[in-house]
Parts: sequence; C-alpha cells; structure tokens
Amino acid sequence: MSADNFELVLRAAMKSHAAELDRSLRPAPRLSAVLSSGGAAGRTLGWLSLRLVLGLAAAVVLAIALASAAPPLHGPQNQPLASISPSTSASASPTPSLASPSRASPTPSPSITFVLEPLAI
Amino acid sequence: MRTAGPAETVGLASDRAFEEVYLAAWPRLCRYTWVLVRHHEDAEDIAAEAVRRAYSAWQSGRGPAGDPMPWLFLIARRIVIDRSRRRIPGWLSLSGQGASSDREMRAADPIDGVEAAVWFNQLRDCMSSRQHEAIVLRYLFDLSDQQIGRIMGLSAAGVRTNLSRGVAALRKRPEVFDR
Repeated sequence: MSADNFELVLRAAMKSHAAELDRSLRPAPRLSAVLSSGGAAGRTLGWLSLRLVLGLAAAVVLAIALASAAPPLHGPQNQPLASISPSTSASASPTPSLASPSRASPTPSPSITFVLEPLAI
Repeated sequence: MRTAGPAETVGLASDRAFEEVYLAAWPRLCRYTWVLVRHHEDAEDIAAEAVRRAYSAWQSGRGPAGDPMPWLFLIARRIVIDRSRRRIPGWLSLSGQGASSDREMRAADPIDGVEAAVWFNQLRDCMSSRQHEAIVLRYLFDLSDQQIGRIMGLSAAGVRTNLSRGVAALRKRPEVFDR
C-alpha cells in the first residue's frame, strides 16, 4: 500500500467509524439549556470546598504555631522575681516603680526654710 | 409595542450566529472531546462547558477570526487539561467525585461497547496519545498543520513529526483496518 493510499484508507476508515459513533450519541441539546447548565461548577464544588477546609485548617495551625513560638517583646518575662538581688534591684529595675515612697507619699517633702533673725549688735 | 434598539438587534443577530455555529459544531466537538477523554458523558460535559466559554468570549467580542472549529477545539482541550490537573483521589474529594468514581463511571459507559469506539480505542493503543490526537485532527477533522499545532501547542514541524510517527505505528498494525 503506497503512502497516499494508506492515508486515504485511514481517512475513510476514521470517518466511517466516526459516523457510526455519532449515531450512538445524543442529538445536540438546545443552546439555552447548555448555556444555563452548570455541570462543571457542581463537579468542582467538592474540590473547592476541600481546598477551603484545608486552607482554613492550615491557617489555624500556622497561627497557633506562630503564637507559641514568637519571642517575647520586652525581654524575658518568665524570670523569677526572687532571683533579683536586693542590692541591685533598685538600679537594675528596667521600669521605674511608680509606687516608690518619694513619689507616692501624700505628704509634701520637707522644705528648707531660711529664718532671718535680727543680729544682736 | 416596543421595538428592539440597534444594540439589541446586533445582540440578537450575534446570538443567532452563535447558535448556528453551535448546531453545526456540536457533533464534531463531542467527537473530539470523546477522543480526548474516552468517556461519553464526560465528553458531552466538556463540550457543553466549551460552548459556555465560547459563548462568553463571543459575547465580549473575542470570537474566532476564521473557522470556529479549531477555536472550539482549543477551548475544549484547555478544559480537559484543567480537569486532569484538578483530578484528586476519591477519598480526598468531599463530593466523592474523585479518580475512583471516574473509573467506575468509565466502566459503565455504554459507548464503550459500540464497535466504532472499540476501533478508536484500538487505534489509540497503537501509538502515543499525542500522535493519536494529531492523527484524529488531521484525518477526521481535516485540519491543517498550523491549525493542529495551534490546538495542541506544537509547531507545524512538531505536528508533522507526530503525524508521521503515528502513521508509521499504524502501518505496523494493518489488522486495525480489517475491522
């Protein structure tokens, strides 16, 4: 069989089998029915919802992991207060205590008064 | 009585033109998608999706420049590729429509029993899916190398290579033509 002849036979066989196949297919539905149907959306809904659930779960896990692993913003906060030595506690305190007696005392601090007395000449 | 304005008239004419294209293209579109997915209901579903996308593009002025068939085939082929990428195992799918249910559906396809479908399946078994697609587009739909290349994402030389290799593979299986 020559090359051209072979291609002719192939073409004829393909078209005859396709015509036979067409007889088994349904006729074309109305265009309005095709345009209004949404078969693809229904089929992809499962996959989309799965992705949504997985995405939400991943976001929650990531948020928890970040919250537990994040370093504290203002230095170590879990250091016990008893370890601070009394001698250095006043100077080493990172934040000034608002409850110190000098500031919190309601009584005014003693002031220096000068008393002028007449000189005895 | 209200009469249609110029824009509506153009829209109606455009719809009618699309409907004519649709009616002429539907059997060939279904045939092509069947060749790609080898399942009758999936093929019709993909063809319908391709028509919806084509209509949307047509309405927005992105219709085909010439013959609409290669344009429709290209849209359908992209849908097939999208769906094959999206396919997930059945146990992962919340809707239960995964790969396992696909297999069950394929087993139940009544078209598989038709002699012509058996012949096309036998043809495909002789060669790669790419060669088979090129051969179908050439010898069944009579498309040119350029049109086939545009649909399959190949150069014209690549199309010719696939065609010649497919034909060479068929030459080694002459019993295919005895059916």
